Amino acid sequence: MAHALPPLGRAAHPTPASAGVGLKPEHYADVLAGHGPTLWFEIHPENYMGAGGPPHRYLEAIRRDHPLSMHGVGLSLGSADGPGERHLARLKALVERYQPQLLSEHLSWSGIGQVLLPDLLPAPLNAESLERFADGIERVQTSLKRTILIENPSLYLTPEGSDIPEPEFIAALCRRTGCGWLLDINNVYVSATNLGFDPEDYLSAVDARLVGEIHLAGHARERHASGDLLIDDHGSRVPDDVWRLFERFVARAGPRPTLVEWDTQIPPFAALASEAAKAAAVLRHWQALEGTP
Amino acid sequence: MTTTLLDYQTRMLDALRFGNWAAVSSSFAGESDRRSLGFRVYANNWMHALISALGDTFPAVRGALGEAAFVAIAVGYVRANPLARDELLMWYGSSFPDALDAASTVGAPSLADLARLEYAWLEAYHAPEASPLPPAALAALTPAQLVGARVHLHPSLRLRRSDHAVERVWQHYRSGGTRETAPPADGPACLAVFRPFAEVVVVRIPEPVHTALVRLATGTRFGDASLDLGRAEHLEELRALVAAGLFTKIETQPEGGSDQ
Repeated sequence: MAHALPPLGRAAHPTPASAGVGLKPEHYADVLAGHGPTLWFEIHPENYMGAGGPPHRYLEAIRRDHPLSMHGVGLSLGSADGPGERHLARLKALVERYQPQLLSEHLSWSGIGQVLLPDLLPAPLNAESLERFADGIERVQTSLKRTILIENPSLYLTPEGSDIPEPEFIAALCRRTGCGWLLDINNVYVSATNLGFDPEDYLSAVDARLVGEIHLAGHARERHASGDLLIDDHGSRVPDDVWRLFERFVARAGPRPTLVEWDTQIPPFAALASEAAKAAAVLRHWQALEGTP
Repeated sequence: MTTTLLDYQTRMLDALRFGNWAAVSSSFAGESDRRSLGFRVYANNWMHALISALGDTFPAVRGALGEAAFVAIAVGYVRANPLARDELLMWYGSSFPDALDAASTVGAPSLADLARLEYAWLEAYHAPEASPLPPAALAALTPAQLVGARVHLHPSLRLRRSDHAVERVWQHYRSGGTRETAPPADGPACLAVFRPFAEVVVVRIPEPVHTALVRLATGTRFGDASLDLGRAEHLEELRALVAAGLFTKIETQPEGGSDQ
């Protein structure tokens, strides 16, 4: 079915290659008061799956003036028994209502059988899971009649039986289903530290043509005798190491819509907006160079 | 031995639910201490997400119990009642009030009803939109039309009856109160919880008004539903609720007609 879907590339993702932030209820009033006029906003659609009420009132008002991205956490695309059909139906209704410019999910699973654990769990990356992910993505894209982006998750464990490197695995999914890649550079850094690989090597292996969005965030650090463990808690400013990886990637790949996530210990809107401004400056720099003959 | 994706995911999910690292430790690559650290992160993440969801939905119960007691009860509830596959995190905890009842929390018999009020608030908060009927629409009816009318109540309305005045306790913790200054939950109390406009309102109502609203909600005509509203102040209470936006539509039958 992938051939019937919109083509890949930035033309399929009309959100400008500028900076956005995750939309938090704590910041509704700031946004409606006109702060962050050039930002785009990303939501977890699961938080807007009630029938009505204040969340929809705020989102409708903000959607009128800003591009919107929906970043799902509940489809469980990598489950051996497939993504949740009821959840997909709810997502479809929300996508039709708000028409987000960007739509994404994760390279992970959360549930099997009748139980779902609200987390992004690691799947072995091999031929069998490639089939499951590809089937899940195709079911979603066929239902929604549009392509989605798939995000590389933060990892704390490597399942046995993984024999395809993650960049290669995601590229294979993109080729097979027509989906794109939401490259979370903080997740690359977190996974690299936890599992012991070089984040530069990972990013060098990313086919930049597939990347339709970038995520940046902060993480927490635990010291252990076996080495540091990073927790992807989205609870602080983007660390310098992650900024450096971002700048290097944009220098190679060109600007992409870039989101700053901050989901715990939520700061005043101005602090979040200042992180987005840093990302926007990098994007503008490389946009200007792209436009230079 | 080849492990299928289904086998891996079934075992991993069970191990995370019950904190049983030994059952899946051989399913992951890497050094032993790094693997157990990684498992601990995943085991914490989902538990933390569900306890946080309970805390968000039941802030007054959390305040009334105190943090340590709340988390202890929440951990037991979460292990016994994981999120169902198609359930949304925002609705998690619908059976938490019953679990509090079953736990027979010593010295806090009103906790379950307090939790029921908080879940009613959540349901009202996310309920469908509907435009309240202007009070003038009711005033324009003749007495005969009013007696024979059927009304549509706001879809956000949740009615609760408790042996305890839980709305006082709820209001106390909602406005940042502490356990030391919590008011007594001397009851009983009937409550109407609804969201006529942007905000959810919680209104204490007399028992006859509660009875009338339960009847109206099931389609009983206004005259029959309000049989027990003998006292003028009860009618005034109902009128105030209508003015606050409780009715969304009124259906009258033609003068002298009947569809019994």
